[in-house]
Amino acid sequence: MTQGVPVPPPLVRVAERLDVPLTELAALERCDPADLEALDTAIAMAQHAEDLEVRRSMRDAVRFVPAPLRRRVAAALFPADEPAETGAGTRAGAE
Amino acid sequence: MPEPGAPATPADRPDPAAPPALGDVAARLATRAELAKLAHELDLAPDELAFLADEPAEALRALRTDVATSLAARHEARLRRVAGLAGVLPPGLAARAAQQAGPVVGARVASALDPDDAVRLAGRLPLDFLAELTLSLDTAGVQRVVPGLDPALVTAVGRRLLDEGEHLVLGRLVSAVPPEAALAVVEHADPAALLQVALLVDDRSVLPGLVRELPVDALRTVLAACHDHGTETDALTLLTALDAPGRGRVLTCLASLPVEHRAGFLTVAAELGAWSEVLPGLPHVDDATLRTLLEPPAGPAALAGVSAAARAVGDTATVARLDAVGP
Repeated sequence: MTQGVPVPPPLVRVAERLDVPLTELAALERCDPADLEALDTAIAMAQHAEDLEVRRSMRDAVRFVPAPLRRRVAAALFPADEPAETGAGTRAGAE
Repeated sequence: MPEPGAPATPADRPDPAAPPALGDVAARLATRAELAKLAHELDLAPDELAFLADEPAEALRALRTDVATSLAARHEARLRRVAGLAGVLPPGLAARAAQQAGPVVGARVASALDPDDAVRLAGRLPLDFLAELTLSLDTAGVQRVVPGLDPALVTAVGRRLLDEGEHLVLGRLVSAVPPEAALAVVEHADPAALLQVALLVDDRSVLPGLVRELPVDALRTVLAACHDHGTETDALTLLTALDAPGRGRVLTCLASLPVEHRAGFLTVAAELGAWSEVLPGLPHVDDATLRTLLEPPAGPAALAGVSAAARAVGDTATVARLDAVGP
């Protein structure tokens, strides 16, 4: 663990991962931190699996597009400024 | 709650040896159903989320919704662009592209499509693929797309899911279709499977409509199967989701079963203190049926329980009727 970079409690990470206010998860506050850690990991893995599946499927679908249109469709589906295509921005993917 | 080991008194704690009340059992069952749905969303086995087994069902439902929303939001913009492209392609070509993309992304795109385009596309997809796609279709997607589909197609997909034991997904599906379409799906279902689907419905407000339309023989078979499998408690918790005529219908079916079946249900109802949930059904039961239900061996205890429940709410008409009809 890097000194000076505190890891947020697992419930805070779950809230951040789901992009919801912490108050929305108040019912889970009494859970054991180790269990919440496992929940956080499970959500991260589900998000990672979703990212992989979407990217794989999109590539497969683009291959199906007739050659003259393929570049244009690929550009529409994978804009250069979208981080998900490179894997960056997929927090779960980094874990 | 008292600390473990603290002395319990009748005033602050129920008798630990006493069986749980129906309300507690229903709450636990609702939590169990929500845990199964959350596990499905996270691609886990339900026992991997066992630490959430004491949480209220509403909290788990909110968490499941948050998880589903977060997954759908990750590629929302991209999937909307795909939906835009799919909407302008000839349906046959869009259907081939959807199959190329696979069922998971197909489900996400279907949720983003204009419902009319989704319905057109669904008509071009093979049944196997549609059934697979339905496994990944979230509740919002089901509600947007399924009501517009040809009922025959919904029935065919539903039966395929039933054959594959996908009760959880079926519970989502039957919540989004009219009762007649839902009944067409389950009319040949194994009674135990039918009970499972009912326990897992996303929206319990559809249950009264289903019980109203379900053929008497099917309802009777479900009740008999509950007795055979010892799942009377599950059936009784579902009673709490029914309207008064639905409860009356269940009681009427129960009265037509052999005496040992009736006694099994009434004994469990007595253990759970479920008489206040039975009471609303009585005005929808005729006197002959009521007399059958109150026959020994379990009838006298049921009579005492229901009479007490009626007196507790000041229902003097029912008390008088029970006095007149009872043994």
